[in-house]
Formats: sequence, C-alpha cells, structure tokens
Amino acid sequence: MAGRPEESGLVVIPAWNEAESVGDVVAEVRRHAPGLDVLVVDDCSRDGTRAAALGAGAHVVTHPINLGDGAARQTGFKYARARGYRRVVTVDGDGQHDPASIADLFGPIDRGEADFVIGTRFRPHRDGVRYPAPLDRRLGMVLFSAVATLLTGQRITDTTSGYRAMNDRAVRLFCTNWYPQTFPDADLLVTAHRAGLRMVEVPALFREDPSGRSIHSGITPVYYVFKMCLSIFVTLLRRRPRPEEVERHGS
Amino acid sequence: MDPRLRFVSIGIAASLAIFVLNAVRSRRLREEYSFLWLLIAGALLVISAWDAPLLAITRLLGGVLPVNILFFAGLVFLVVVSLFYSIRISELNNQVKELAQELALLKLRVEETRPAGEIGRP
Repeated sequence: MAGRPEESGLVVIPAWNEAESVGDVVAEVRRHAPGLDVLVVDDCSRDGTRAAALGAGAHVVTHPINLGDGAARQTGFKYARARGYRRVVTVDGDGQHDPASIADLFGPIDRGEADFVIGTRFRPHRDGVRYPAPLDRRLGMVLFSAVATLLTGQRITDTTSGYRAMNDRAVRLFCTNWYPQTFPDADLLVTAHRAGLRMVEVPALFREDPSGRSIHSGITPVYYVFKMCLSIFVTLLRRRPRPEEVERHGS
Repeated sequence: MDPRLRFVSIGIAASLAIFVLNAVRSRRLREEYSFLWLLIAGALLVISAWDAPLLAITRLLGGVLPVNILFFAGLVFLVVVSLFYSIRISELNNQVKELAQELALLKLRVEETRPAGEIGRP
C-alpha cells in the first residue's frame, strides 16, 4: 500500500460521539495502510470527536446536524467521488474493525474481481479468529443473511457488517438516494445486486465492540426487523438502478 | 338543520376561509398547501347553507344520521392530510440531508483553501 497512485484510496470512518476511540482508530489505520487517505465523518458529535480525529492526522468533515450512520457513510462517498478516489473502505469509529484487514478487503477490488466487498465476521479467518456473535442478535442475523443469500444468489453471512470496501462504480451508486439513510444492511446488498455490482464477502478481523454498544441496541430490534423487511420488499418493487447511476466514470 | 347550528357552522367555515387566505396573503402559507383547506372551507360552507346534498349522500350510502357521514368524511380527510404531510416531511428530510452533506463538504473545502485563522471572519 505504499502510496503508489494507482493504489491510493480513501478510508471513511463514520463517527458519532466516539472521541475516546476515533483517534486510536485513525492512528491504527495509518499504521496498517500508510498509503491511504483517512477521512473521519463527524456526524455532529458533541464530545470532541472532531478534535480527536484532527489530532490523529485525519481529514475531518463535520455535519452541521446529526444525520445518522448511513448518511455519514454517504458523505464519505460523496467526498471520495468529488475527489476522484477509485476505491474506498469504511471502518467504524468505535474500534470494532481491525484495520489489519483493509488490505484483504481491497484485494478483490484491486484484482478487478468485485465492485463491492463485505468484510464478514462469520467466515473462518486465516488467523483462526472467530467473532462471538451475541445470542440475542443471532436470530435476526440468520434471518437476513438467508434473505440476502436468496435474493442476491450468492452466500451472504454478514449483512450488518459496516466493514466494506468498494470501487468507484459502487461509490457512484451509493452517492444517490438508493443508499439508505439508516441501517444500510441487507437492503443495500439487495440494491447493489440489482444494480449489477459484483459483490464478494471476505473474512475480516473484528473485535468485540469495546464500548459494548451497537447501533442496533438503541432502537428496538422490532423496528429494525420491520424497517429491513419493508426496505427489502420495496427495493424489489422498484425499477433497477439505471446504468448511468452505476456506470464507471468517463467510460 | 337548526338555524343556530347553521349560523355557527357558516361562521366556522367563513373564519377558516378568511384565516387561510390571510395566511397566504402574509406568505405564512404557500399556495399549494392552501388549496385543500380552502376546498374544505368551501365544502363546509355549502353544507351549512344547503344541506340537501349531505342528506342525499347519507341516503345513498345508507347512513342513519347525516352527521355521521359528516364525521366520517372529516376523519378520512384528516387521515389523508396527515399521510400527505408524512410524505412531505420525508421529502424535506431527504433535502435537509443533502444540504447538510453538501454544506459539510463545502465547509471542508473552505477550511482547506483558507488559513485556519481566517475561518469565520468576513
């Protein structure tokens, strides 16, 4: 990853009130992937997330109002698109994603095998690490993995992973309002598949969420299941994304 | 219809129409939103002054009391209006998101092109 132009890329770190962890995440990313630019999208934090990210040497874009995790990721994609990055990886600001796996996620993109790569907790990793899935969430994960597997025609094991890499083709689609503003999970995978993006899952290193909280713990799981079912259902009712929404730049 | 009820009903319909028109005049209400309300004020005025159409509709739908039909129509209207507002709010939500993202990205551009000390100065 040593900064050769064709290997340049952007690491997008969405962060909301993660002042305690975001600095370490940025530093770790820079250590593991020194050739990549790092952008922290501060979703209107009130705890000094911005200062922590700037202090660690990241570029920081700050939302004037809180927009939600999906919108924060999308701001990162819009930044990437405006500045011509050819590949992007999203890493959570809470330290849950081990930046050591960034190279693995970019692998299929660099080899031209995929447009959209999902880092999964649930496939055996070469280091033999297994992520302990919390029991209460396992049911929903199994359900939506099965739905995503069925609708995308390929085996999907981790629909909620925020550890994802993509090329400019995927970034282009994700900059449109096809990208869900909240919980871009199984419904996004279905949308990406219908848009003709080539997807692949690769095993990635995850840590147990150090803060013990998840974006899914605040809202009721019932709403999550409802939102996801409805979103997938209406995605199937919509027309497919038009080619110009996913076309490669200038080709 | 009792003359007292008719009087009150006409008064309410007229006040509604005047209030809506005044809100449009002072630009607190946009024309496209005033349409529905003026329609309702007009319908209320017609029904107050001349209840034959209401009685005819009641007979047609097999209702017992004209007032039930009136309440039912009012309820349907309110449901439709709030659904319309939910859709409008969702649209505005999306527009606010786009604007906030755009603003955040532009602000970063400005910060990059101007020395840190100059930010915020005219």
